[in-house]
Amino acid sequence: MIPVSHVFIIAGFIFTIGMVGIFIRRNLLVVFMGIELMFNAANLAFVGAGRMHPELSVISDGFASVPFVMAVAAAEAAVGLALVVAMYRATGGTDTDLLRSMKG
Amino acid sequence: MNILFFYPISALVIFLSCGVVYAANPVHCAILLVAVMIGIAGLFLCLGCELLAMLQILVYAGAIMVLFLFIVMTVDTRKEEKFANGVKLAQTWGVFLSVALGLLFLFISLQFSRHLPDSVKWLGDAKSMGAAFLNNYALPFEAITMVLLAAMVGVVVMSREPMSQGPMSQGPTSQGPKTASGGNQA
Repeated sequence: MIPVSHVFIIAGFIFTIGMVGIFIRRNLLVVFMGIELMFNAANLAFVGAGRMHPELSVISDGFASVPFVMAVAAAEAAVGLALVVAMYRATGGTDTDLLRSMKG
Repeated sequence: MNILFFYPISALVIFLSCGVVYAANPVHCAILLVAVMIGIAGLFLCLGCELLAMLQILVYAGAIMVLFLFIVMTVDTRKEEKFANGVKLAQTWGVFLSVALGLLFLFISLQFSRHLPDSVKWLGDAKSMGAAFLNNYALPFEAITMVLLAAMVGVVVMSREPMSQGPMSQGPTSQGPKTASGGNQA
């Protein structure tokens, strides 16, 4: 008997850790890894919420949302890594502090 | 049975995701993130979705993280010294706001008092998921294929050698003579 609130709390922890990682890290690759952590936390919350109503005989929306989130995460990872490669070509590094050509 | 594994795996996942954020070497971050993905697949199994656990391992730990590791090892990354340029105001506010958001999540999560059923009634098996994707979710399924196709075309366009002669990299890899027709496709 796992309370559903515990699943949500764990998902919230992982989401917060990923978001903190986005803010404190300067390597663009690690920033994308933080985004992946946030996607996974959302998936975990979806599964917990889908498990919450067992009286439904059809598949719940929570379970069916997870593959869509995975597909969006895959698309995001591909586009983001192409951006990393483009940034490496343009600046010679992946540090976000190198991106200052639009700084006034 | 599943409660026996749920809390240790979740503690491990939280610990490892702290390691993803903390580790200085991006290769270590990627390896730790693979471990986090596998742990989350274990949590999915504890929650009773075996298909999603398998998809998590296949898609995340198998495909996305291999892509990440490939780029990490292609791109020359150095270890970053933490806060080498000082702590910016945006970083301070970002961490503050994320912790505030986490506390908000905690507060909202505690509103749910329902318990997950212990009886193993597999709702997330491949049969019911496949039936759902062919009946109720057929239109979103087709839409997500379009998203993936658009992302694929976008990546191909973005990773081409740029046509214009912009200010190219002063990085260490741009010493080679450039052919006029854009020869070195990576």
